[in-house]
Amino acid sequence: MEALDLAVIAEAWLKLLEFDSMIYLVLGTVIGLIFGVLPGLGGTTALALLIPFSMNMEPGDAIILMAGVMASTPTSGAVTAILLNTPGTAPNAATTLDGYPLAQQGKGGLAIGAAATASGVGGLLGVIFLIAMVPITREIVLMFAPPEFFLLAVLGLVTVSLSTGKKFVKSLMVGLFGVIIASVGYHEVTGEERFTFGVDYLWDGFKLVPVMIGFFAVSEMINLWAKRGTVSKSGDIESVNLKQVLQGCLEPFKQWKITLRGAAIGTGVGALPGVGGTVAAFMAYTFAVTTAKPEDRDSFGKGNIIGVIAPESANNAKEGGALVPTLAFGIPGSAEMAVFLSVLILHGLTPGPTIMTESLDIIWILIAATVVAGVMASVITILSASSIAKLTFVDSRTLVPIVLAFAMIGSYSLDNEIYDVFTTLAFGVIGFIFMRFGFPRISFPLAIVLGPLMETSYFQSLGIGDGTLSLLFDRPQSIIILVLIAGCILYYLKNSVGSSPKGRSKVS
Amino acid sequence: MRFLTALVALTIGFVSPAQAAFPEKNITIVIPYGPGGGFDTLTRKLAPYVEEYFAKAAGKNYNKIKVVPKNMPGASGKKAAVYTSKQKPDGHTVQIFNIPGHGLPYIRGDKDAGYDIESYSWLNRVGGDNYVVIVSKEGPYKKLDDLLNKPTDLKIPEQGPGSTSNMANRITWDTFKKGGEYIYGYKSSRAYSTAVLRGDGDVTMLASGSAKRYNKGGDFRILAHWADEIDPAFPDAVNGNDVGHPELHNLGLLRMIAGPAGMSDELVTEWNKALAYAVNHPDIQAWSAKTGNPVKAYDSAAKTKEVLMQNLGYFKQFKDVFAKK
Repeated sequence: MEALDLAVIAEAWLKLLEFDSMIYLVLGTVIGLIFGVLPGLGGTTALALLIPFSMNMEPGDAIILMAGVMASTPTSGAVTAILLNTPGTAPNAATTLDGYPLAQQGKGGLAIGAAATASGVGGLLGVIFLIAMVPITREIVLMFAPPEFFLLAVLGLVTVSLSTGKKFVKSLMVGLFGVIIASVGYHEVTGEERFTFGVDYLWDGFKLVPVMIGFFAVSEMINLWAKRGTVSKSGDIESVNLKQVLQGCLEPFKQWKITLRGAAIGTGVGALPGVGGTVAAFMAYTFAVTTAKPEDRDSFGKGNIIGVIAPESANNAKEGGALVPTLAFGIPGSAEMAVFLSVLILHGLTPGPTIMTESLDIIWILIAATVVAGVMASVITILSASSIAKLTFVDSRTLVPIVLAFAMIGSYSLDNEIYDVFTTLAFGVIGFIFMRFGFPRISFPLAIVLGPLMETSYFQSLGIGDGTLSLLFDRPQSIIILVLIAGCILYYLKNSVGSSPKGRSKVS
Repeated sequence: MRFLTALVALTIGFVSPAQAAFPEKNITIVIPYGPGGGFDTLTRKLAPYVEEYFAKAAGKNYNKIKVVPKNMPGASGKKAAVYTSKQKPDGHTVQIFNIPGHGLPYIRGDKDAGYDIESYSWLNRVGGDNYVVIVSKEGPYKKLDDLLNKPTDLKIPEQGPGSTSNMANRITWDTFKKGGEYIYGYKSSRAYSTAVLRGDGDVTMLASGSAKRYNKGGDFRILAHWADEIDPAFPDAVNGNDVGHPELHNLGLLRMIAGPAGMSDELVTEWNKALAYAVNHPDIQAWSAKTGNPVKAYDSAAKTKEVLMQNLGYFKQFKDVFAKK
């Protein structure tokens, strides 16, 4: 099957235009917008909660639902970042730097319009990157063997830890914990059991979904309950009116170079496994500041619209970029992609060498759904900015029981297994403790997914290389990844010595 | 009137006890693996036709009885096998088994597997296949002898110890006294065949149906087909007769359906017929021909058990081979 087979592409669009598909797409987009606007409840939580409900759907419908969520969360996450100085999702953190000052100046609508449009355009550019990669995936798949997978896993774990700035050491500790959790169960290479303590439930290790639901959704709810009150305590909703929002929509086109550059950084960083949108957004922001005219630089942090456009373009473009390693290698580009990966697997779609050749129809459905959902999310955000901001004022006494009920039902219904509920609760408490003591949680899901990949590909590399790891050093592709790993570490060391940590990512 | 009703009920019950009692609720076919694989696909494909057969038998409950495939992945199929063994032998829960995969404890003589493969009520075969030896077309191996003459051990990408294809590989290379170095950890047959294509290893083995599907682009060369008749899709292949080892044709994998131990003879017979009805349905036969998923059923449950034990008996000869890591 040719990657750019027009019949397959047309079929995907026809599938998307079916009534059921559109319902799922709108549903996914709306859920994504709601979870995006609620701080802490990003796309990862939304996807994790939706998995059990997608189990009985056709794979195509499930993918459409999930694409709706993934394409829309970063868009609405900008609304609270701008209005309430609270990023709706971690990648929106950079948007607060100039978005909130704009809102304080009564230009919240302008900022939201610019953010929503930059998100939509960035998302489209990211997808174009993904489409460009589709025809050469076979070559990429054959180029990347176990030694490269091993190095990519190392790169993922290193970069995600570095992205947490001063919390680098704590982040590594969380990653190590994730690797230990991931090592529980039957080991496919040696054929032996590890840390199962004779318990049958642990034979296959901890399941990704109950762990994710607990670690992200339940822990946030415990935290919110402990704090009481509402998600947001202050904010200026009045500054949002449609006229101003529409004016803002034109800004990303006026600043088209910034929008394009943001998208390029987003897709590039997104395609690096384990790095994700937060780093992409901060890099795009930093790049916009450093390349601005000297006389304009002072305006950043005080309400420069460019400071909203650059990170928002980047954090939506990263979806397309992040899908490349997720689909072609089975290596998730972010925590959200890690959960999406489990959706694919649960629906019998094996990412990696197979998916681009055997499930091309699904890939095109995913691409089409991402495009439409991205545009739809931008339009809905523009039209309903003031209303969705009010969601953050729902009292925790109402919000927490509802989300917890969804979490438990979701976890149980996956396999009708009560132990999954216990797992969810246990990891909810663990996640809360990590939050409470300032451990960045982002490296945990990546370690769970990348840990086993790292171990298996290590053993495979030894097997292929006659008992040595020489293959890590004698192929151009592995050398490039090694250089990237070294570059990331050097970049971190340089910055942690010379500059202030202000403005670094605040992933938690 | 009440007397008449009772008499009619009694007569129906007396004449056809199995049909009156079964099926009285939905039927579950347990799939020991996750969605999307070969076992899942075949079971989901067969389920509506099994339902069609039983719905007729159910009479007044015609529209109420459903045959529900249920995925229960875990512990390489062990979780489902243990679950099924603990269900009531009333015919409402059965399972599709992977043979010889599920028979590994029997083959090795492990006593603590949690289930006994011999004890289930064996109902019918639904599918099965035999093996091929597969290499990359661009690699140095043009015929089986090239592999056997390689001065060093063969490198063989594989899923893991205990997988069905790993058993096929070990028996094949042991037969030719050729050493193999196994590279484990590839998640699926597609993944380890791609590994061969990429040059991670020299050779691996696939079920012939999978080999046909994966070789649509002509990337592979199939050097041997362990079957009495070589499939015309494999023009470069030899079989066991050609290399003096016809016994390798026993290296088959079977997809069989069984219920918990102690199902009544009537239930076993009904199930045998239902599965034969589904497998021989023209829709299933057409699907099988189109997709290269071989299907086959027997006309008696006794024959099913006989073939099962034959297969396991063949693998049991190689008990020591499987003890090797």
